[in-house]
Order: sequence, then C-alpha cells, then structure tokens
Amino acid sequence: MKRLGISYDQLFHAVPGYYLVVQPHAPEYTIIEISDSLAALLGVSPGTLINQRLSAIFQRIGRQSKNNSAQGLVGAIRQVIATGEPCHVLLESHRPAGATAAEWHTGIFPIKHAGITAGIIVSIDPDKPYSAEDATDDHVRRLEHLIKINQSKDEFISIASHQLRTPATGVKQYLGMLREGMFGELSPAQKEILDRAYESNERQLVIVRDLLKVAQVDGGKVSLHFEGVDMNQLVQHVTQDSADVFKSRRQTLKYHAAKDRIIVSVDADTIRMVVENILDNASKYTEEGKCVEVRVRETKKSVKIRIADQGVGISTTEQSRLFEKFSRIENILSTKVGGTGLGLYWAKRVIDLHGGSITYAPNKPHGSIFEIVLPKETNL
Amino acid sequence: MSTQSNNATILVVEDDAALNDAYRTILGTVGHNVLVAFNGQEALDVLAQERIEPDIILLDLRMPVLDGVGFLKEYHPEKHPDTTVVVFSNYDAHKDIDAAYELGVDRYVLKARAAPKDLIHLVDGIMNEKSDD
Repeated sequence: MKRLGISYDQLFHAVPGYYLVVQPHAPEYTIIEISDSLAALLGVSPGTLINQRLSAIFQRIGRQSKNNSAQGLVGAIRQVIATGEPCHVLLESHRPAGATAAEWHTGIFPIKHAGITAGIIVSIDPDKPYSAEDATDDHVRRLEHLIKINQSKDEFISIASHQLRTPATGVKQYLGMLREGMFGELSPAQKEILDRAYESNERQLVIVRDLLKVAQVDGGKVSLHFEGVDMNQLVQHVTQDSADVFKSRRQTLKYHAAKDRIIVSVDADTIRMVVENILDNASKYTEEGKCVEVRVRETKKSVKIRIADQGVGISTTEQSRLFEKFSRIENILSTKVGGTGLGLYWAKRVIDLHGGSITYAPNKPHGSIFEIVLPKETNL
Repeated sequence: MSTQSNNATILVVEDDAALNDAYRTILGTVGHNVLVAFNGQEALDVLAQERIEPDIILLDLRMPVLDGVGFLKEYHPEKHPDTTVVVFSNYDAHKDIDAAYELGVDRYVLKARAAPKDLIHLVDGIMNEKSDD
C-alpha cells in the first residue's frame, strides 16, 4: 500500500504498543509483524523475528509460567480462532535485561477478513492487565484495519497477476509459433520484429512471476519443504546451469566448493532460486571480460555462500534500500538490464524464512559481494 | 520443429479459449491428433464419448465447472497406465504440485515457461519413452 508517500510498514510501526501479529494457520503460528517497541523489549531488531514461529518469542521471553506456557498461548490462539472472541493470558517471564520474573499481560485479538480469522494480534503489555474493553482498544482496531488493507492488497496483486499471466502466456504461444517458423519462413526483418515482441512478452511474464512470488511471501503463502541438502552440490548445479549465460557474455564464472559435503536443512527449490537470482544479477551488472566468483564455505554453525563480482557496484546511498520492494538501483547498466526491483526483496524474505541472512558489501576495487548465511541447525 | 514419427492422440484440457486454441494448433501442425475440452467435466465427457485412451492429457488446474484436481479424482490416472497426464498450469505453489502428483500426474509444467517448441519436445519425449517401453 502506498498513499501520500506513506507505506504500510511506516503506518504499522507508527501504532504504539507491544504487539505482534501471527498467521492463524495451526500448528505453526508464524510471526508476520512485530512492533518496534516489543522487539526492543525483547532485545532484538524487528526483522529478526519476522517469519519465525511463535516459539521464537518464548526463546526470547525465557521461562514461561506454569499456567501460561507456550502451549497455553497457542491454546488461547486456537480458542480465539474457534470462537472469534478475544481473550487474554498471563505470561510469566524474565525480562531480557534483568533477572526479575515479570507477568506479561497478553491480549489475543482475532482479525476477521472475508468472514474468516485472517490474523491474530498478540498484544503484550508488561505493565497493564487487559480487560474485556481492550478488545476495542483504539490501537488494536487501527492495527486490524491496516492488516486487512494489506491483506486485500496482497490478494489483489495475486489475483491480478494470475489473470495477467494467462493472456501473456497465450501471446507467448502465438508469437512462438510464428517465430519458430510453423507458418512459413520469416524474413530477417520479420524475425527481428517478432524477437522483440517475444522478448517484451517474456519480460512481462517475469514481472508477473515476480509480483506473484512477492505476494505469496508477503501473504505468508510460501510453504517451504525443508530437507537435508548438500549446499556444495546445490550451488555447483546452479553455477553449471548458469555457465552458458556467462560464456555468452564473455565473463568468467569460478566456483570454489567447500572441502566437505555440507548438509543443511533448507527448501532446495527456493534456495536454488535465490542463488540463481544473485548470480544472474552479478552477471547482468558486470561488464564483458570480467569475473564472478562463487564460494561456499562452512563455519561451526552455518554455511556461507559468497558471490563476488567485478561489476558496476552499488553506491553507498543506494545500499540501504537494496533489499526493499521495488528498489531499482540506478547505475550505468540498469536501464539496459531492466528488472522489477523485486528479486532481492523476495530473496531476503526467503532467506529470513530459513532463519538466515543475506548481506551486501562492496568488492575491492569495484563490484559487489553478496553473502547468504544459512544456519546449519534451525529452530524454525 | 518436430519430425513426427510417433503421432500422438492428445487431449488438451484448458479453459482459456486462446490458449486452448494455441495448443491445438501447435500440436496439430506437427501431426498429432488433438481433442479439446474447456474444463474437467468436458474432458470426462470427451473421453466417454470418444471411447479412447489418449496417449497424453495436457491438463490445466484452475478451471470452471470441474477443475483439474476434480478431474483427476474422477479419472483416476492409475487406472489408465497407457495415458500420460501432464499438468500444464501457471500455479507453481508446492501444494498444487504435491496435490497433482498425489493424484497420479506424471509431469508438471509451468505453462508460462513453455514455448511451442518446448511443448513439441515434451510430447516427442513422452512418445519416445512409450515406444521404448
């Protein structure tokens, strides 16, 4: 949502209080929003807990009271989903900075959307007990309104994208038939015109695909299939698949594998797409004759995938918005390359879902380094 | 372009008229025998009326009246071992793919990625596998 230059995120974080929002899909309730105040109370940055399971909160809160354990809160959420009525529980915890046990009054409020419970607001207050009237608390209603609008936006993007994809797929078939000579030989000029039309259509399909991917990840509709994957092998396959593209652009692609197999529990499909995305960017923003190096290495607790190019790099001012939605970075190649400004945003969200991180650093003397860190053991 | 040696009988099940026509044209042009249906129920009706076991069914998932999953539940691919069911969908969520495979689908193709030559190669590959068996 973007209106008068104010984004949904800005509006959401302007609502005061200690709260988080979880998806109402049992058994694993996922945190999709968290207020700055609560994140600060827990001693983390808000991004750390987004897309984590609700249990991550309990790791932060510490000890739970005997009556209101993690299961107690989950049970209360189930009750709210079943009844559609708000309720409250009392969490007992250590405050992160101190040793004194404290009771955290916790209100649980359903967000109704299109007749179903589309979200749950868990409003934690370290100081004030909740009463029934809190169900109509101004800030809860404001949150509810914002979240509904945001969900409507995600649904709209998803539906509109699917609707756009079908006719664009039709155009691909008809242009493809002509281009492939199914209805007779084409003159070089006709072929060139058709090639341009086909490429434009392909770009349109990529935009639609990226919009859909982002709508899915924003709407919490990405289901990941975690399985043990050899990261050396996965990255090697991606580099092998990309070899022709690098060759056609007269670039060198070097792959440095880790010494041993590194088995990590990840969703292979999405991690592969993330690495492909970073590698594709590295090639697109690197001039002919230059080199891109991919390195996989293992640390005690994680696997690191480092992709370093000798390309045009990213200016200091633009680095901060690199992983934001629709962030097209301006440089000498960006007009030629095209793109949606959604790829890195989506990649970051996916890596977040794995409990990992993705970071940028400038390469010396010029170029970019992207590093993906995935935990070997995940609490997700 | 395919040099057809294995002409196939293919049932295209696709609700978008332009895409349905495109697939019929592409496959017909290289010599395959193409039947068409615009939803799962029509596909079941065509199969009953024609009394045939097509070599390949190209099946969209989201369709009115009876969708692809509904068709698969009625059709029972496991009862038709000579027919290869290929889901041709623009939905690539794991749950869609998993549901299709659980119902006996042989392949899953994201149709936005498949150019006409890819469709022809797909059919050629399936027919070559059948002739090798």
